[in-house]
Amino acid sequence: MARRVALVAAGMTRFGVRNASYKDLIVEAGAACLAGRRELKQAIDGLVVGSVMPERTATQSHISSMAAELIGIKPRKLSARTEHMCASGSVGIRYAMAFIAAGLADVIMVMGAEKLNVPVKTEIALNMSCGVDHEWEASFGLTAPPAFAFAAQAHQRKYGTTEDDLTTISLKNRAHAANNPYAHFKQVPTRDEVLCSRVVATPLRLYHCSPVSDGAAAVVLAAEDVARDFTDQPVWILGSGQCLDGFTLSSLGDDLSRWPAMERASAQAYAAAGIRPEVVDFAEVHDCFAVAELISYGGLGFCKVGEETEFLRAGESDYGGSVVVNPRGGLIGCGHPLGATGVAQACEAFWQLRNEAGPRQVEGARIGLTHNNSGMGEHIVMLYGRD
Amino acid sequence: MIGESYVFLSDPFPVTDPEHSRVADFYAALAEGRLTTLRCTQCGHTNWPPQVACRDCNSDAVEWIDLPTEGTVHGFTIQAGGLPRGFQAPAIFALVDVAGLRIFTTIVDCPPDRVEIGMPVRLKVTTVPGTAPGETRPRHTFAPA
Repeated sequence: MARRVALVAAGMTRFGVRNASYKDLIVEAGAACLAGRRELKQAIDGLVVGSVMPERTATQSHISSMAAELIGIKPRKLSARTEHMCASGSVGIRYAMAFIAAGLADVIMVMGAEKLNVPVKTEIALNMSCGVDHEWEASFGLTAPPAFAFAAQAHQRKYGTTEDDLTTISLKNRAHAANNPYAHFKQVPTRDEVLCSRVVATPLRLYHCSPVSDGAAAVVLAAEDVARDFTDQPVWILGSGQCLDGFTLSSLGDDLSRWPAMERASAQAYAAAGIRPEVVDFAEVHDCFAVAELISYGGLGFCKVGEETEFLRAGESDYGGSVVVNPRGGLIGCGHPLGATGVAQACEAFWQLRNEAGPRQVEGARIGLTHNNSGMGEHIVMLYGRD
Repeated sequence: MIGESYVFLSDPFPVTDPEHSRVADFYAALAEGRLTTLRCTQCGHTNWPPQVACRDCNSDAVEWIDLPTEGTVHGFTIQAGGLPRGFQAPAIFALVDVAGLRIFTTIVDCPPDRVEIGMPVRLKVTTVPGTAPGETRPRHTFAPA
């Protein structure tokens, strides 16, 4: 019988253009998560670090061992790095969950860390292009913004979604981020500022995109038999799902406005948890671009597929609606230090479900969802709940 | 590394050298103006992008075939800035349908405001710098037909 797994601690760095090295960020997040608790630190028997491209941005491999030493832990049962582009952090959490559920470890720290800002600006985009097929896509200059722009064009043509709709999502998440001390952005732009921001890749403008951020985040997962040794308010992993349809744009079918892998990943997670989407109080979804959040409303089951724009316009994805989407500010507001993002989402789930989210608290939150994509055909969903 | 002209790590373009790639024949054909890919002789599946074993049945009995050089634009986006080192804006990225395959490419010889979905396009082989001074590598870009 698999053991239940809980989050028992969380901590993160501020995200943003940080005057800090890759190692500095790891040290900061480790310290924030452990908060000086020696009993928790000594109980940790595993470490998983989600990190995408330290080889390029910090000229560093061998990440988990380095992080363990920097944090001052000596994993006895598991040490690993996960790399799954933008979903690396959530993939790490799911690995740790499986190890604990299977009895191979009891207490595992999962960290996500990324240092994306490097001194030569044109290298940043070149590094990011490593996330798409080098030979057949990146070699034309493809990075994520134009890739997701194809989906935005498809959703606009099929459903009449407008730039104004995408702007509503950006404004919502920037407003949420203003209440988050860890967010990349504190200022909330006006609608005109978003609509007049420069075009990145048509129809996506600058403020429809997540920024290039540095940051790290960490959570500690524990087995149900020991979770209460570390907290009286464990946050339980209720279910999870992951699904891949394809990697290259050539493989994703005719209709890029619909991402079936997300529908199947969320269906897996809901089935594992034995719950329906209607009971989810808040969701940290992967708004790498505003259109990605829009498509997630249907893909995660909050509305019917194809009715995302109506759902948005009705205010159903903000405070007061049926599910608060991205209360921490999402990737658009918080920034997107690739490997750190999924772990930062888990931090938010931990705080929201313990009523510790301050001015951005979703009142009475009992069930939260986190979602990462690492491309339009690749999705991972986690469901969290409190006692 | 410092002081040398070519750095493999920062090369945004593909390996086209047959010593380091088993699909290098794609680039040799492309330099002659032909668009090719690998078709499986066991199950008949045409793989795009070309790869040395079939992604459908995983047989390595694959053979090069010529593809048509004309297609239509399935979707596109125009990137105005922020391209990786080695690329110039604006870039018209497109998914082009060629004989039932969906090929990711860039559209050249076309004002950005002229590109549209359904537009017929034709292969236009362009070049990028090679790995040694004076050498070039061919690219399968497309232009309005």
